[in-house]
Amino acid sequence: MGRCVIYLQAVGTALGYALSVVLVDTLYVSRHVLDPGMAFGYSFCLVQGGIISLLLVLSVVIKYVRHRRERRWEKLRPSILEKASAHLSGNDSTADLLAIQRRHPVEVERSIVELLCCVQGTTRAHLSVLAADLGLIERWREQYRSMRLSKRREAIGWLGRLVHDEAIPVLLRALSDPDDEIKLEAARSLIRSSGDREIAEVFRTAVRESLLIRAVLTEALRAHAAMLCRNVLPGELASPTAKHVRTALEIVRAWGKMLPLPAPEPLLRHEDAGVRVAALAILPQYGDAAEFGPEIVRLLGDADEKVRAAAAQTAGRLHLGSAAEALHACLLGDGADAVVAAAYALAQIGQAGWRMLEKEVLGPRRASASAALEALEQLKSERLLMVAL
Amino acid sequence: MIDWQLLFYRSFHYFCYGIIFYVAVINSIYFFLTVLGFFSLRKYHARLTPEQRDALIRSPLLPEISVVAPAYNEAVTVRESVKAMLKLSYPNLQVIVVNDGSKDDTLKILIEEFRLYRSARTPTGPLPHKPIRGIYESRDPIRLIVVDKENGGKADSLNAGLDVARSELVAAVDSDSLLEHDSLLQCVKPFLEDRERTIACGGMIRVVNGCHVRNGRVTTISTSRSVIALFQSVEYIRAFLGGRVALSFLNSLLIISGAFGVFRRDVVIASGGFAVKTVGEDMELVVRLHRQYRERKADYRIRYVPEPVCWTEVPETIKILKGQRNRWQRGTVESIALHKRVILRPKFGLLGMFAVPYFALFEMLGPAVETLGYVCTGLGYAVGIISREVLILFFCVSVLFGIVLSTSAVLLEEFTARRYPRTMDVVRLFVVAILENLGFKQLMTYWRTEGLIDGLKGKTGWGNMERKGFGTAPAKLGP
Repeated sequence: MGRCVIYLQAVGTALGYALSVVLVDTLYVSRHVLDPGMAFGYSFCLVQGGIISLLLVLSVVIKYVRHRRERRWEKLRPSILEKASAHLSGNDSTADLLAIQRRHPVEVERSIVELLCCVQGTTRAHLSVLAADLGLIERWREQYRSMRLSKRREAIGWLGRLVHDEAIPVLLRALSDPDDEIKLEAARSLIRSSGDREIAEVFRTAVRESLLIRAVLTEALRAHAAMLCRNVLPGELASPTAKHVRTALEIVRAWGKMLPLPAPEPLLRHEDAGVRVAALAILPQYGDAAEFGPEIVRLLGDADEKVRAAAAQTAGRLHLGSAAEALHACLLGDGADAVVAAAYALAQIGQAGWRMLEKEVLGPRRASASAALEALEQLKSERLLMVAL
Repeated sequence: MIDWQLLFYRSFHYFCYGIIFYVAVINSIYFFLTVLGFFSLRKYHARLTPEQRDALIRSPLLPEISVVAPAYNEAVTVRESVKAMLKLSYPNLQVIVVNDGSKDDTLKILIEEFRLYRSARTPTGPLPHKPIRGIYESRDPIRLIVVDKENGGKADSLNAGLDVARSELVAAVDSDSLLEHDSLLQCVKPFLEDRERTIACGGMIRVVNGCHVRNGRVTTISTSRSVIALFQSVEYIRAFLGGRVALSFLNSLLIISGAFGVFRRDVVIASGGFAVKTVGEDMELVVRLHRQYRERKADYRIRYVPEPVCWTEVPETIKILKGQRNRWQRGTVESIALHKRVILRPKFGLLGMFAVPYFALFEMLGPAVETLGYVCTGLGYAVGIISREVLILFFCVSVLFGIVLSTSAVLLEEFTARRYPRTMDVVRLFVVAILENLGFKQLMTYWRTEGLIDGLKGKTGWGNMERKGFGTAPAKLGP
């Protein structure tokens, strides 16, 4: 739909341009120039000249209008803010503000938004009531229904700053807006000022949406990670869509801390390789991760190279000495990523791993020997770095 | 009895009509692409907000990225460039500088400045390239890897960098360019929005001449005092804010500038890497990716985002500029010649039916036709076939249309990015947008025609680019 609108706008502008050349030719130039070719050429030049002048004038006018608007706001801002502050400190200034709003609606709206950004807690709640009394919430809700993206973005940005029940349904609806910016703004506002139910909804949105939204929301949801892992995550991990399971696990991995997580075994045996990789990555976040050693060793022999590489990385992170033999086999196996990951894991698990690497450096397999040498060297340089520090 | 004079007049007449038709079509396409670019820019290219940027910088979910920068005799600028690359705001970053057998102190400067040690790392990728003499690494948390290899050209160096990299994404950059601190984040945005389908993304290149650079960062943006650099500033704005946005919207972008582009590493490796035997390796790779994906009927996106800014030093002398344009034109010729089979083949969709034919007809042959137009008009006037009015009209039409495109690009810049804070700079850009059509553009057309001829003859070679260095580049600024 959005793309169609852009095509239509572009075609419309191009047609308008061509039409203006034809109109100038028909209505003016062809009456004065006899040769039709020359007449058309002159018309084209006239329109071009007109467009260049229009572009230059437009740029000046826009700058001027912006400047005027700024100056007007700067003039009115102190009195509006004074009234609003007085209202917040207990003197009812609603009538005064309504009177100013009748004459300068844009300036009042802008000042209230500015104030909303500066205050927190109960003051913000009081200001939200004032915004409702001034009819701003209704206006922004209306504005959110606009076809224009910029208007919708603006409306959600402002509604998101409120602490008001009327804003929440709009923000929840905005979670399924086609525009990513709006989704993100709504989600972050809900996380800031809503309850567990809304936060759970934001988490579900994060699981289903693009990586951009997921990455931003993962950070915003970090403070609620424990609640989400207890109440919402099990439902998401039971999803029949492997992609949702994978993304839910990626979010948990990004939180990177010990959390009340459901049992990982079904995920480690999931038919989707991506889910197995993601499940392996969160194992260090279990308090008793070492007990999953046999599962990790099993996955070091997985048919999928990415799973083997992930298993090797997890074994390394957990310093899983019991996986040494399986890691050695992985080092001698196929797949460049898995071989390098196995070498690094062997370097991390301690002396048993180092001995295996030293042996492989002189081994006949070139890929394994290179990876072993590289891992040993990294180990050495990291140690040197630690000594230096 | 054949009336030769009449035949000549008639032929010339039709030939002129042909050129007028050609000019009308090319200008209509330019105009449509500019308008389409304007509308799609307004709707689709929202910058990351500061909050989003902060969240992304902290996020471990972002894919790892390797910045691969080939360097050949870059001793003057390499220190600043690498420092700028290491300071980029991105959570999961690795910088790979490929020293392409430099004859100056490029490698020595890198080893000493960044205290590198010789590493045992070996390339794991399958791409062919000239032998690697050694790989050096830093011990810093943000890893700098320097690959020292025998001289093989830019594409060969990029292939070596791709083989050494192990990340999901690879950013191919010029080591003589400066990336803005959040340019990687902005350029990775399309991959984050549509991870499955996005395979490559290009960023906007701007002219650094005239700007203040300190510690690898552009601190004050200003236009250059050099007229040649100023002309190129407008040219870059026009190319990057108009046509490329529109072609990206149509998923028909054929060029991701060699100065800054992000690719999925597995995709580039699977496609065979950068082509070594062409001077237009950036365009060739993108056309090849389009072609391979369309042959497989796979769903994919090659995107361009106008925000991630890469600052590059442009030539300030006629000789070097001429060589650069000649090379660019030869690159276009080579890329089109290598992929001529897609032209007018419906199975390649817009690529075969519009993008490549458009490039072949207008970007590749355009300069020759334009030069021919100027010559014929002059000739026609000289022999009396064309009247003075027609001559002036032809000149006015072509110049005015160029002015419209250039001024609208500057206006678009002023409405969207607003990179030039001083009003004086914007005024200068507007003036230059008008003046460049009165000689400079015609000169470019002539050089590109020479490049076309050289390309058709199969001439190779890169030519030289003398660098001033970023530390000595700043223009005198007002108070």
